[in-house]
Amino acid sequence: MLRYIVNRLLIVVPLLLALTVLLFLYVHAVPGDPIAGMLGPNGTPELVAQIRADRGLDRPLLEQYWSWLSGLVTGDLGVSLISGQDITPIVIARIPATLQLTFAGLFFVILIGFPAGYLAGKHKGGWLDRILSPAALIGLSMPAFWVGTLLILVLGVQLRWFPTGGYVAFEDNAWQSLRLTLMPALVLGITLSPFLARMVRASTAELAHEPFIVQARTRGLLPGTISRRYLLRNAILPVVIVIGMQLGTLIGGQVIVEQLFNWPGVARLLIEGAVRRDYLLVQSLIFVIAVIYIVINLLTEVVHASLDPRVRL
Amino acid sequence: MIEIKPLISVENLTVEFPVRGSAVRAVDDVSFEVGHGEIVGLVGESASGKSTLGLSLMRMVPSPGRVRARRMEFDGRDLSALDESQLRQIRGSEISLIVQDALATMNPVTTVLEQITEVVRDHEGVRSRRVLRARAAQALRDVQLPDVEINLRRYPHELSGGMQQRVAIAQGLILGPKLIIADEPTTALDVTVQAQILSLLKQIRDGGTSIIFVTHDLATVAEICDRVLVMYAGRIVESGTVAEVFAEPQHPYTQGLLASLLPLGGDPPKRLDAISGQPPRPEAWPSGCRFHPRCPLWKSKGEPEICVNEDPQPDESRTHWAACHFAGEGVR
Repeated sequence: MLRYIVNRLLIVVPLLLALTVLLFLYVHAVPGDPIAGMLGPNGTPELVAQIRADRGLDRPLLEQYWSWLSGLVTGDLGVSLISGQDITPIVIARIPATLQLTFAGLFFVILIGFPAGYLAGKHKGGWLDRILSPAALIGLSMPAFWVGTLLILVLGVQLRWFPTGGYVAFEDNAWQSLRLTLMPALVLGITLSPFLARMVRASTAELAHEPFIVQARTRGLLPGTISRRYLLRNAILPVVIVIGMQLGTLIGGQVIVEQLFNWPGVARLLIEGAVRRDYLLVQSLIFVIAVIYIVINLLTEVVHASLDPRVRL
Repeated sequence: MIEIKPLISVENLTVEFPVRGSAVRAVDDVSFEVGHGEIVGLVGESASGKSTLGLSLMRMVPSPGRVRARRMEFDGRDLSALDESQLRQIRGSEISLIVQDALATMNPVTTVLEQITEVVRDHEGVRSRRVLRARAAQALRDVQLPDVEINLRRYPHELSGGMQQRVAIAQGLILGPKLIIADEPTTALDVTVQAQILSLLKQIRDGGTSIIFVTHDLATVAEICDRVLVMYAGRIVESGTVAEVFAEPQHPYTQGLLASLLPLGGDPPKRLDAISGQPPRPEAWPSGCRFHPRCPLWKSKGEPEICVNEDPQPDESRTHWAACHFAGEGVR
């Protein structure tokens, strides 16, 4: 398995290199000058030119790219074009909030999606399935921003059960932090779990026809044994795969949810950067997200291999 | 001669599957017995109902199938009168099923140790890991699996085909069943492993266990069976000891099956005889004798009406009988 991980990481290096080229060109192809935008009507051409020179934007593109890339290798994400601050500490400061929301969101995705899919698949065609399957379809068709707004209106404004937005670090006030996490995490759970539920339902329903399930019955095993050791343990396998697949959607959903709930995470920083045309910030952030994506994907593969003995990495 | 009660005795067993309003009979009005310590071969082509018949003895026909029988007596109990939980107690402990594709019948995510011992846990309530492990190791030694301790920790897909089949047999044997239904247990194996598994089954039989050996391979029947039941189109068409049936097959279908075997000695024939046509489907069994559309005897006799209109009624009191209006005739 260690060899597999090393091999994978070796493949990742050229991949990331190609990504930096694409990112750099893509961001620079966006029309509009960030400095002129930042200064607005006060920006005389002289002032704009001065700040551009100060941030190194007047250098040739290749040189700019090279200095960005050499920074990345040492963990230096560069300097924000707008504020002039170092990007690395800004991003690091945002990561805990994002991770907290990601894991809370994943928790709800699994909490809702797995049992719903498992029960619907186990009793395919039964009354539970006939409720859950349309519910999953409805869930799939609800956009995150709409579900989020609805939750804010009902749970936050009307019932006043939960605060409508904001963030408190877990170590500062655990209770308040959890209360604040619940709604945005629930939005991720509600919008992303239907896909998982459908996958788990399909694979669980298929299991019922597997020869090893039939054979388990001919061996007179207790119904509980068949459920736990045969159905459940095999139904869990697709969960890891689906979560690896859904990671991109999860990060995309994060962008909307962080914005909606005023959550100071990495995704919201990305929006702020994009709005202000902060090239370097956007470039560097997407790069960081890509690295996180690759790492988590690798992690899901390792978890999958540890759950399914047939998979050897 | 002293009358010994057979282990299982089945009278007028029918397995029906409802299909669009009507009922399709995969197994139709079948009667037979299996004695203690006997290997009975159940021979037939694909879709002849032989596997369904095997499953129906455990009352395990896939839904919505239904099993009906005038009598289904197993070891002094009436199988058709038992409820699901009583049947569960018989399945796996008194009647075991071993099938062709051992790997497909094993839980891919649990080790050999877990697979083998879960029947012991569920049937006997044994909880001690040490006891379970010892039982599993013994069961694997009984089926002559090498490197027992290593293989107990392995997962099914890590074993070779022959080892998988041995583990499957060990699973079926660990509770000491009285009857094993072996559904083509050697078909997927190569010839040397096949021979080893067959000799293992013979040893199991010598230990007093009865075996119903479901197969389409007459050569293996000749090798290990004591008696043979030939199935065609949901019915048993010929029954007798292996010696009788192989020496003097009475049903044209059995004669055809035997003629399609390669002879062991002498020059190989220029061409092998095969039974012409396709086996009929359960939803459209032919009338009268179900074999008549493919029967060379029927054709050579000028297609007599009786084969088309009347079910042959064999004399089942004899040890060797065939369900054919012209039993015993025909070209050898």
